[in-house]
Amino acid sequence: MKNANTVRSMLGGPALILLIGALVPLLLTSGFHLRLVSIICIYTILCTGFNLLYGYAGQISMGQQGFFALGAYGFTLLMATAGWSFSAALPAALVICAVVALLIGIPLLRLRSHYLAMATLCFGLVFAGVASRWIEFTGGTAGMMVPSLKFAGHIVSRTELYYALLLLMVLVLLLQNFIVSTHMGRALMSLRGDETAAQSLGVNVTAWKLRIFVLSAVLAGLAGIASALVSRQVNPSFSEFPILVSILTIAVVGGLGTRYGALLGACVVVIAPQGLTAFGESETVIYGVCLLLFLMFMPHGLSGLFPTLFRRLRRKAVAPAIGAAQAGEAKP
Amino acid sequence: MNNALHRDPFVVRTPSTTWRAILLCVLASMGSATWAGQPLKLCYVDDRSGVAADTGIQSFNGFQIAVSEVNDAGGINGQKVEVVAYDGKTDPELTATFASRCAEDDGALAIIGGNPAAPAAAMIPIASEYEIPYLMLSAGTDNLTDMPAPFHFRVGPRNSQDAAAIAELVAKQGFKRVALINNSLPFGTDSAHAAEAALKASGITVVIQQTYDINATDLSPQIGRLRSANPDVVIVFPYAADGARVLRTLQQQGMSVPRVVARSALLSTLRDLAGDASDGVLIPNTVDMQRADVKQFFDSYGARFGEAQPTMYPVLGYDAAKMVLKALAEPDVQKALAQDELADARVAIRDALVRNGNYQGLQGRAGATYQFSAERHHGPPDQNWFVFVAVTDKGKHLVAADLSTFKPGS
Amino acid sequence: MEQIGVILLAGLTNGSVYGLVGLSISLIYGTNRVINFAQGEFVMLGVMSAILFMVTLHLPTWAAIGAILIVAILAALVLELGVYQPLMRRGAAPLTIMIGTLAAAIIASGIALLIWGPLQLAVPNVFSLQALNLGPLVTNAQQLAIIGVFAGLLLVTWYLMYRTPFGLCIRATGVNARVASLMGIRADRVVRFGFIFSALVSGIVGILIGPLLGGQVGMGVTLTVKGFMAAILGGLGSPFAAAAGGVMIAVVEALVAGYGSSLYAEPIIFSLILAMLFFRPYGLLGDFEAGRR
Repeated sequence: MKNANTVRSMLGGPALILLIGALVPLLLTSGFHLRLVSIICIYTILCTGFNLLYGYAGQISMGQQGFFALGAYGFTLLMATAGWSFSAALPAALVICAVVALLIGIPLLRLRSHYLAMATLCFGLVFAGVASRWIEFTGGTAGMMVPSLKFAGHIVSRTELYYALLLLMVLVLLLQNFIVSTHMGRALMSLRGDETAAQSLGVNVTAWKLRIFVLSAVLAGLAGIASALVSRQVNPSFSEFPILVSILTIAVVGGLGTRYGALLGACVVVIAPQGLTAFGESETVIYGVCLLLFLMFMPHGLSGLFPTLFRRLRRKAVAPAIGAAQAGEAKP
Repeated sequence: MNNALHRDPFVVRTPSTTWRAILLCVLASMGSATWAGQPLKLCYVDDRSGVAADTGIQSFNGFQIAVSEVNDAGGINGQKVEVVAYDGKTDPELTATFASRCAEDDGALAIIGGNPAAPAAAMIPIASEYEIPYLMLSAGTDNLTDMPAPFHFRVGPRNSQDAAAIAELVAKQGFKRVALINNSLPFGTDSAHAAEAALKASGITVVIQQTYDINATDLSPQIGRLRSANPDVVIVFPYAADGARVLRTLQQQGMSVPRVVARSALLSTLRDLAGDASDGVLIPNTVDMQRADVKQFFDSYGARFGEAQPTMYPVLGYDAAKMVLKALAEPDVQKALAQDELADARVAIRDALVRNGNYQGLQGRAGATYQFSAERHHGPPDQNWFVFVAVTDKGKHLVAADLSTFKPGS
Repeated sequence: MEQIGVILLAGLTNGSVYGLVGLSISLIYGTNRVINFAQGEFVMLGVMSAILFMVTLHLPTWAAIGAILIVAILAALVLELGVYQPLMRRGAAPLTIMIGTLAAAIIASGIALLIWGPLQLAVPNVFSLQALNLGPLVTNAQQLAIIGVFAGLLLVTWYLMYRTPFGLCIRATGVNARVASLMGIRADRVVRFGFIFSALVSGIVGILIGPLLGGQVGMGVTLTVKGFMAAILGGLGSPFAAAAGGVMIAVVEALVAGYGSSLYAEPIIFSLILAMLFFRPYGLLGDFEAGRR
């Protein structure tokens, strides 16, 4: 019975998201909206990695934007410059991300908290600095154009790209749910507390830190490739501060260490600037104030709202089955 | 300022097309096929609050002057032109999103904007995808207009033209040993890169090239190396405040060689901070302030928006808008609009832009025209486009450059 | 020989700025284990309010400086009472509070954008910008003032921390806030002092660098990052190590510019810091700090 519940909580949410996501293009009227939901998928993939790393395992990285750009640049250079096929360039770019993460992860993961944050930030800054300076190789500030995808003579349309992204996002969420609800999740969460205690309980702290760091880097790289395909170009801004600020905002607004926080946060971060244009020049202030209010009054982000709501609903409705099915989705 | 220009972003306007079509049929049957009451929309997307905001705001002001001129004169065939403006900051992704919003949700006829390179480049795929004319302003990266993008046009000069103009001047005046110094921001590194290539092409040696961080208060290591390389001319690619620092340090270290500073020196901030260290500096510009029509434009700019800086940015916005507005008045565009065929109207505007490709605007020397054609989507020609101005009077004034004194050793 | 002198002087001048920002970051960190992402915004506020008081309102220099410092203190109090305290009361983790200060930085630059607009503005100089010859070296009074103020503020900080009873409280709180409060130290006052003093230091930096760097509302972020790097390189735990880190960064920057590729100076420095952290994870002058939670 308990196992059945676990499985339901693992699959239920992603299945629902897949269903809603599949219907979205039918409800939207314009390609502009389709672009927004595609970007939501990208940010969700990016931040699911960050969430596993920081939200669950307590290891902060402020260099995720570096891996995001590394994936995008690696993919574009392999495909556009070296002439590789899509099916070769995609895994190769992800392998590059994994190797780089491994190389800097081994020495860096000895660090904790602010030192780890700054060291990873250094990585992001180095990447941004080189990407904008090495003009012959990276195209400099304006970056490089990414050719549109072709399969057997058929050019992949925006809608098809969106469905691919949606599927990818759901797979990533499934992977996250799988990790979180098995012993792996408990090992990760033990890192968040006292490492010495975790070690004494038989958790191989170093190995777990490294695994999750590499996984989050690969997910960031995957998101970067997706972003390159959606915007049809890469440029140094992929590795710059605004992306980092978006990652942190999504984590805070959605809720750290929650299963669907990344998705909820991404929805807000992508859609909010479209609404904020109405405020003209005071846009920046309002963005900052909202972020601060979220930090103060919703420490668990939007995900924190749902358990409260469900609890209320459950008290009113007498059907407990629905509540059980949704409890997993709203893990605080 | 532009609040009134924004629409509620979340209103989905699905039925409008059908209803408009029905309404149009009714109107047509009544014998009046005009599109009255439906304003012509132009979109302006650029950075107006980020690091390149000075350029974006100036261009937007120039753009608004052009639109007001038309609207004050009764619009185009009685239809008013409406401006939809978005601030993309310097974020390429956000800028591209706004561009697609212009194309889809706002139903704009053309997109104008794009001063910083990365966001400007991000709008090109959008223009191709939605087949909406996009007039890019000062984003100078050379290859942006190399790729086939039938709806994308560039109004400002590209980096290699800036560089070629400077290289031409340097060669003509007989300089042999050039020193380059630039900041580490995109404008600095890109321009220096282009200048180095252009100078090499003209057979002039670049004896040294130096880069500095804009937060460095003391630039003497870089200037020291510049001095020991013993150049006969120094070319600077800075932003405003750091450019002043370069000029002051050159003066402090007793380097009195001729200096050329990129267009940032047209901004008063640089000259105010540099004071007498900026006197004698030559600045390339694509706007010839000696032209009467240019002078008149800057007078009306100053009257409406306060102080006007003699840069090309307001002119770029103005010229781009003028070209699109001229295209809007063309019969084939009007016909497509009357039939409520947005896509056809955009194609017709693109065709009209190409057809009127030799447009004479406010950029360039007197008599020079843009040179857009079906194959060439980069407007500024290689000849007769740049003028050089000189700084005098402790940085307070800009005058036409006296090239007879701008020689090696002077 | 002359070349190395020029490089060291430039390193010291630039390093004084990075060092002072690093010092102020470390001052706050030392009292409450929070990294203040809004530190550069204090500098920005100093620069921009110098324009407000000196150019727009035409105040005499001494009054303007006083007014700028009052703005800095007010900004510190707003940050402490409006961001730090509420988050602390809700039991937020230090990294969450760091994101809170990032939000504060966004708000500060947003408000500054509304007041001063996005253009880079000229800032009047307090000291002369005329060339000053020191043997083979050339500098100016404004740049020398930066070095002088750096030395002066280091002394003041040292005196406060090691020669006053209050300094003992600061150090005790830094070692263990809970134990310190058990000993009767008002930890909240120490924290407030940390915010105010670091904001004052940053405000002074603003007055000094404004005439050289110009004023732009977005200038805070890059200064914050440089300050961080200074503090990380030297060691976050001690203000003096952070200050030394700033000078080291600037000297290396000047050396790379003077002898190597000035184009890649910035990425090279960040790579060096990254490499340094591989070997000395707690900063060059730091102790066990980084390994502790």
